[in-house]
Amino acid sequence: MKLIIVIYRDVFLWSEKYKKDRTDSWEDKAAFVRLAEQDLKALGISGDGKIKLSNSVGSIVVRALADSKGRSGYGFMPVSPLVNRLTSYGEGRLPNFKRIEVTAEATKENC
Amino acid sequence: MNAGKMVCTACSCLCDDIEIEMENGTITGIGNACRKGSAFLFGSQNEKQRAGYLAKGREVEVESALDAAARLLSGARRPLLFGLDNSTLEAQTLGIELARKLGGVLDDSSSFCHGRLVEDILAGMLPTCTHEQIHDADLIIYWGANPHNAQPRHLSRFSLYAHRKYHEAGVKRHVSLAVVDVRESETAGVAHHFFRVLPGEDRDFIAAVIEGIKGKPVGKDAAEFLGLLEKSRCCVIFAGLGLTYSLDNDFSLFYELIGHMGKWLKPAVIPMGGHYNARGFNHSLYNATGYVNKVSFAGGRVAHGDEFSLLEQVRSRAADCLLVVGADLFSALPASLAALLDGVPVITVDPFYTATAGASTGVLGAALSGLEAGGTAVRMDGTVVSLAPVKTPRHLSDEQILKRLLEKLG
Ligand code: SF4
Repeated sequence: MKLIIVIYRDVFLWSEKYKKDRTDSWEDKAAFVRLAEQDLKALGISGDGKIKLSNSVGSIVVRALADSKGRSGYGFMPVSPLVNRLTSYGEGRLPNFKRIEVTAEATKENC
Repeated sequence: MNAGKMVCTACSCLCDDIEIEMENGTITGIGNACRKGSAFLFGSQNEKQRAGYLAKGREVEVESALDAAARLLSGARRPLLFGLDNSTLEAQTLGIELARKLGGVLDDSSSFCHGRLVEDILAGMLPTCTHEQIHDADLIIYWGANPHNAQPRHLSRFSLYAHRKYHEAGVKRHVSLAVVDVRESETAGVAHHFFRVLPGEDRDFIAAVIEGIKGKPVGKDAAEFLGLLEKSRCCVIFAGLGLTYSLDNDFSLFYELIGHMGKWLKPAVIPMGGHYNARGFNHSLYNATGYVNKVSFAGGRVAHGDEFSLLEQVRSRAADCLLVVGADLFSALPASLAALLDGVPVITVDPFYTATAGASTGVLGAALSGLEAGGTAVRMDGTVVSLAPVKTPRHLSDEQILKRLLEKLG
């Protein structure tokens, strides 16, 4: 399935970075994408399923969460170095942080 | 013990009412700060997360780290200085002087964030106002911005909930909040009006509203948005990164809309910068060179252009040494772009041991502005705020570090 991923800021994850007892896992905590329920269904993902997002620059595996207000064809991921494995920059334009084209598939791989 | 009030530098709100409780030099309590601010301030006490002084990856005394950094910079033929958005105005002035002395390139995150809007505000091409003037507004719009996450106290301190005429309940609403965004965000959840645009479709939405202004028939959302504008006499638009990215930094249509609005209402635009003194950097560089970012001092002259943006400098592998002040490039850039920095010596000045510090040849740990170091900064709305530290620093401030580097470079 083709999806467009949009990055957004998440204050909870941001705060996680500065926690005293963190075990360097905030990148793991950022490993999720919010998708429209109908897209999750079309991908055959339910509960705590995993999804592989790939494009020409990279590939990541993240948890797929249902977004009751989501629009089909779009996914939202929090800002983190993880999602930057999918972002790119072309001369004269801004990086595609707000419009990352990916192919999505259900997977059993680990995040 | 109450150590008094301080300014939080975790975001561009620069909240100046942060109360600090301290015991034996350690923060034990924080009042008034949001989750973001308190995590940042408490996090500054986590020694594991603070940056020390490193040269060639090894821990050294501050003097050796400064010497090593100065050697790298003086040996570079095409040095690039990036950042300073999380530095005081005083440090920014020294950073500009350092870039000038090195004949290097200087840029900050505004070249891929709010630089264009701030430049046009400074040039008098785009109407703006301060937070204090928000009380004149009857319509507040967050466009491509979600302060709930990025500037968590913005609504309560500076916009809707701080508005003198705002009442939770009332027969007549004196001030309305509208949100234009791709996501039904938390801010959209408390707004009176929400307009959802699809990613990259802000331009179409603006064009439709302009068509409506010209009397042409338009869709439901554009008509409703236009209805709000038509009822307003004073409207403040907080422009977020969502707008910048959707328009790919080309604001011509947005400015056309602002121009139309100016015929019957008083419009104002405030760019919602993220870093605490990003706007200050734009002001500092504009005063020094006439440009807000993307400047080269090579050959003793000032030049400006896209080729001097961080993104282009990295993409074209133009820089042979990078001094990063208060920015975490290696987390923020596309990984494919950051990989092009492989082999380029990087020196990082930062209070925290970031991914960029981890990838750096030299690290100069800095005091945390506001808490451990003083100075001045420019809030997102252009207001200058004084920072008075409440804690004794164990590190040099970024101002002191840049001053020492300048001295060492002779
Ligand atoms: S809103 Fe920003 S400046 Fe204010 S307390 Fe929160 S993080 Fe700090």
